[in-house]
Amino acid sequence: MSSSILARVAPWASILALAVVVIGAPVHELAHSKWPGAGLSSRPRLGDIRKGRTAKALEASLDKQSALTARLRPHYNEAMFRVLGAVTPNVTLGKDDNLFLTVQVRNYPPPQGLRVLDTTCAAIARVARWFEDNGTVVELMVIPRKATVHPHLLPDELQARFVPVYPRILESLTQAGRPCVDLAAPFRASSERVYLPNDDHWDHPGAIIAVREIGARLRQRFEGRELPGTPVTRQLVSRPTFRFSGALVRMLGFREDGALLERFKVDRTPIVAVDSANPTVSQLGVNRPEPIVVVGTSFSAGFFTASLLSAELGREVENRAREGHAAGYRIMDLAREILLGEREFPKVLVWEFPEEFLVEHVRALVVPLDSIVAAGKAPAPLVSSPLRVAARKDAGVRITAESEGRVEGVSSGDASELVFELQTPLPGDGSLFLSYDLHVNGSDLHSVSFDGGAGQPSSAPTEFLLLRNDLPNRILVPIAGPDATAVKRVRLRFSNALTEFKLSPLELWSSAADVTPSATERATEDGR
Amino acid sequence: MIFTSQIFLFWFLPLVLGLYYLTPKSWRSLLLTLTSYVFYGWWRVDFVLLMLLSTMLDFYAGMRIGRLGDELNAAGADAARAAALAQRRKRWLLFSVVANLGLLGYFKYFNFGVDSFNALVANFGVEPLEWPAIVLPVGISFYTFQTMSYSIDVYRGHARPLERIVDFACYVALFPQLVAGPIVRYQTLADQLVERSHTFEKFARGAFLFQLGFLKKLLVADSVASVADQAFGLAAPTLAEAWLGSIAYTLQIYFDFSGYSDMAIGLGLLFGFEFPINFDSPYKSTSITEFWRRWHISLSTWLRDYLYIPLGGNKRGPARTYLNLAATMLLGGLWHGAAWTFVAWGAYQGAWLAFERWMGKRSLYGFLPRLGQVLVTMVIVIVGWVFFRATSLDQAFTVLGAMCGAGAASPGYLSVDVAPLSRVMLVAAPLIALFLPNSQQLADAGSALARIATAASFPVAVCHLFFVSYSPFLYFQF
Repeated sequence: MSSSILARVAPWASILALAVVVIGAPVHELAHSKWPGAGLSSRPRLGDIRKGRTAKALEASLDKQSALTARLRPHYNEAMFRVLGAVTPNVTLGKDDNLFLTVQVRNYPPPQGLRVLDTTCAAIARVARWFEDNGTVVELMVIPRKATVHPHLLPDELQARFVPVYPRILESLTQAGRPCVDLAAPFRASSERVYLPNDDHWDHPGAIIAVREIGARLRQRFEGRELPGTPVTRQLVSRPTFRFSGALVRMLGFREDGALLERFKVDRTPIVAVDSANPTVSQLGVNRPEPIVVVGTSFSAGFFTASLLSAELGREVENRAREGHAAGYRIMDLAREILLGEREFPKVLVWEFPEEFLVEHVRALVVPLDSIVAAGKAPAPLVSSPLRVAARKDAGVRITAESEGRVEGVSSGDASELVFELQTPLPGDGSLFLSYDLHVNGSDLHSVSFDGGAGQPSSAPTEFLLLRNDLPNRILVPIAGPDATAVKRVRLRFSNALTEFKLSPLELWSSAADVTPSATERATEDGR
Repeated sequence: MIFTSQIFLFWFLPLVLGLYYLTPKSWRSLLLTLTSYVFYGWWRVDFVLLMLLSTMLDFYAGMRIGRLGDELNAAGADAARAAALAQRRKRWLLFSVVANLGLLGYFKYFNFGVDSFNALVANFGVEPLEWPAIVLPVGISFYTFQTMSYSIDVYRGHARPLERIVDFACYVALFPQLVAGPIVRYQTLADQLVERSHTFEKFARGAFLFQLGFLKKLLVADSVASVADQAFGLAAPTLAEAWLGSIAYTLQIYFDFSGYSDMAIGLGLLFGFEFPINFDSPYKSTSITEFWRRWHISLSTWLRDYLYIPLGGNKRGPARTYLNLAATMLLGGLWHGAAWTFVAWGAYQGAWLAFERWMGKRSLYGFLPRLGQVLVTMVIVIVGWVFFRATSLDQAFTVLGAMCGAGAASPGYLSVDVAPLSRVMLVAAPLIALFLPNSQQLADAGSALARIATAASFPVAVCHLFFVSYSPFLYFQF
């Protein structure tokens, strides 16, 4: 009897399940004003339709904006976590509910990681030397990743595979002539929670240990001399404890009000710097130029690290750290102001890197850093002027907005490029520099090359690994034609498909000692 | 557009299904044709024109072959006229075959030919030929084989030519099986193109097969795919990693391709079409001969009927039979892709088939108990998949060497990360493939439990879709 009922129900079950999905889903999406095409930012072009780019963009926007996805995903993530103990491959669950970024604990370092270490350390050392040659005391602060300090918190299978990279970094920097303070040992010795279990960053005790170590090192280097800068006027105070859900637990995608999210939250008692004149406003260092500067990542930008360093040194600290934007581009910002004569070299530079940047962000580090060193060799301060462009040819690029030299658009494939024809040829001997800001969403590889015009050989492309976030990547590259011949065209290429980009006007940086018109005349002669 | 995408599942499929059942019967083929072009044009609109060209050529060739056939029948005792007509028919057939193989050859094999030529002449210091890379239109291997089967079936008198080009265009472009099969031969579908039935049971069966295929692809194939990808990405795999990767790929390709076939057959049923079975539990085979009766049946029977038998089959003595088998499998390998790894895979399969034919259609290990025969066959198949998966012959031999113990020394752990769901599937999938009934058997038996369990799991698998990234079916590349 029951089997005959089942046999009758079964076909209906198949049809019902299909109907729930193919009718229920679109109805739900339409009810939330999500329909195919709603997410497209601009009207499709025939060429894009023909080559399937519009369809891909439409599909991507559908997947990204699906109301159903947003609704069901947290429930699904929680169910997967309860059943399998894992959700996203990007996050690894360690012991005692400690979360790790998978990329930092599985197959880490990346295959080429240790081989490139000497290259990245040497590039850092070259920039540090440039600063020191100009009177700056440079202190490097390489922050060990959580797994370096607490490998015992990794899952058993990963503990067996753990490769200590941090000691190799310290060794490599020492070999490059830039020894830096070992933070792993005091972190391990600490009885307090140095790292957040639900995040890949340190907690305040970690920041405090780090700034104490750096402070001790700097006092040692100043050998009793007074540290430069303005005496600090702010106080460090503790704020009330609160429940904190870190970046890694948010990546797990649980419900905001769910029990699982609560399980991973931790109590934090923030330490903040407060200006006695304005006690309600928390301070993270200062933004005005100061003789003591911190350049770094989210470790320094957040967690009141700059304020803690201020307190430790008793001096104001200029905080130039930015979340998610370290590697070469932040130091480039500081270097730009110095190179263009907009500010003095600082007296002290604390330059912070997370450990993994030195093995993962090679092209984001080495190429920008070497450009700084090359520009730093200019005989006199550099002067920025607009690069005069006669015409621009676009290939595989759709321009969406353009004004006063600023270009916004979408690149579509491997051969996507913007080719700028210069009004007058420039010397291609590397004495001049091209600079611009590039903001991307999609691609992470970008290259620049130079040539002497149509049909002429092109220089080897200089490749930049770009960072995708809210801040622009500041590009600086010596203008070097093939065999130092004159340059008539600049070629900017995007390596991956579907990259939204915003490009600032191109700038020409030339040495103040080298008057640009005569340099141009020289190149014109060469060009003839 | 792929079946396991939101755009297909939430928008394309409901829209086309709705329109289909609202449209009068005489207009349904046209509707399916147009929507199939949208489906295909989703990759590249310009390749729809290529398909249209192929459609028109073969429709015209089929029409000519059919008319000449009628005239030939009417010619009666006029031997001279009959011979002339037969000659003309043959020319039209030749035209169709050459046109189809020409398109396939240009788009699929030209890059391979140029690359192989350049590699060869580089040894003699000759400058390489420069040629812009040709983009391979998705599914061209499948639809050219279908259009060829039309001309050949009409020529052989196995089917009448279609009268309306829209019916033929529908046959060529039919989206459920367009890009990765099953290769539906014209004679199988000829009547259904003109008239097909729509019943509740057929629709429910289609829904079941579609859902089952969806589960196989999304939950099983995609879960083990990451293991295979990682293992085949290692420069120097250990013994365990090489076996793990090869077994994972063995499972991936079966659940991916058979999952796609189930979805295609299921979708066909939703629109009233009955496509032939494409997989019949191939990993339960006790010999390679049996494996090829169960794996990608639509291709192996196509090759048998349109290549092996015309070459002489087994009618010209043992030596020629072995040669025919080897040649058929070699070309079958090359059909999958323009690379030496596919040639090696085809040669490997052909050699086993010829060997088993020499053994009297028995396997070398026929004395073993059935499970033993199945497992040995599985190992032979796994070795073959290494050639199929590898990106070069060098890589294939590296992995095979590691499987024989000549790989890297084990550091005491696996460099391949196996996610929890992958672990579950690596255990469950072989058991499913070896011991459970296959999709068609479940559908034919009308297993109520299987249908209800599948229906209940389907929405869960759709949720999984929100979680995973874009993952096309493996056979799309062929």
